Amino acid sequence: MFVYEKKLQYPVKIANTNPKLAALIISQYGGPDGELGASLRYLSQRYSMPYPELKGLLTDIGTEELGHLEMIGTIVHQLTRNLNENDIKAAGFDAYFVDHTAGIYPAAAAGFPWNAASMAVKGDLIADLTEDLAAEQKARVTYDNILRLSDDPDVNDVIKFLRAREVVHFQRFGEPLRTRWKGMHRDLFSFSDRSEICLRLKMDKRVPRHSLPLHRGTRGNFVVSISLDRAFIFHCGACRTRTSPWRPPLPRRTAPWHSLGSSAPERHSAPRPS
Amino acid sequence: MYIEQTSVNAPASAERSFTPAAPAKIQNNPVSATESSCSEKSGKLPGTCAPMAFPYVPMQTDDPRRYDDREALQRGTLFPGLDLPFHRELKTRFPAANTQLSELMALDFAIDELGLYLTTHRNDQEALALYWNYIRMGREGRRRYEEMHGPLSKTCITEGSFKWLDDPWPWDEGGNT
Repeated sequence: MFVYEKKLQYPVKIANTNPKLAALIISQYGGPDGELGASLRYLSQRYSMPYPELKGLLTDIGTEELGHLEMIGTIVHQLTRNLNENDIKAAGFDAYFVDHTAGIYPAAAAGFPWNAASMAVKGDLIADLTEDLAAEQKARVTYDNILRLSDDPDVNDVIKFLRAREVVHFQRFGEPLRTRWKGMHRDLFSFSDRSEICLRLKMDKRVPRHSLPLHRGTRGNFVVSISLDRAFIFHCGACRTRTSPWRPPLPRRTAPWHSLGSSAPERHSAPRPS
Repeated sequence: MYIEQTSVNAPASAERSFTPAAPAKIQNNPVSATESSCSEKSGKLPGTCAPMAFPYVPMQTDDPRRYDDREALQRGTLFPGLDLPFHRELKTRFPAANTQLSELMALDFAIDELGLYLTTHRNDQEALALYWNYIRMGREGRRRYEEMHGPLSKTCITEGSFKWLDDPWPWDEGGNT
């Protein structure tokens, strides 16, 4: 649930109109690295996040980006008030004006409308957070570029604030990667295995199910879904949780599939299960 | 990645991979003495080892130095350590907002920023106490603002009429200053 508050996060008070600048700044409203995409990216990525601090982070930052969207809209709105025909033509604002008049439409500076293809939701903690780190840097560069192009101090004051927020968000998005990966059984999974794999395998009923999912001499089909630091073992057919949560066994006692990338020569010569 | 182990008798060579391998050799090698402090799948970060192929952002230390709420709003962050502007010489020209609004914006900003910090530092008791303190001050600031300038929230009970609808809205000229 979202509740609107009738104020901006940071004051926007633009003294002089400047449609040319407005046509550039609209990119942070609906461009590829704009605030609309940022908020939708974070608010959509929340659902598949496994840890509470990640759910909180994406909710908080996604919500703050909606506030930034409002600030960008306010800048563009105030830069384009009281325009006359000559202003529009002289300032190169006519291409935007013909479609949107002085309304605020989510489009990039080059004119193409906002596109969900400029954001990503992968459903994977590492992929999504890495995307978010990149997204914050891309937004930061866009603000840098606006500061390079704009000489309106009223606009730059707000842009400077928004740019500073991208830096803080980058820091916050980076911190959970560290807390969550430090101290993990990092030898256990090869890189592609780590975030999400499903292994079809046969279980040895003689071995406690929590100790070794891959073991020689197995019976019965199970699926092991390994995500991050725990794994769930399912029946292949029913896909119900069989044992949960399952802690990864100690690295060097595990099965051949973890020897990918190992330097031990005998592992390289070992035939892989097919 | 899918692996189906169909054979009841797995190859004997697979069995070998369960045996401990290599690390003793690495530790005894004087040439790689510095590397030996990290396992083969780890790399060096300043002062520590960490799994390779993952991005690392240093964790901000607990109870970091802070600006006061007014300066934080002007700089865009509460933390001097994260204050990394495009050009240092770009001076902030904080628009002359009315006192009640700029005070409330500063308090709310400090609340947002500390709340974000607490998401990744939930055990920092100092910051949590400050956060709650700002929230208390924010309530007071909100009350003062609404007395002077009308409701911030649609559910405010306003005497006489439904003042929520009154201009200016935040994007209007003079709406937020």
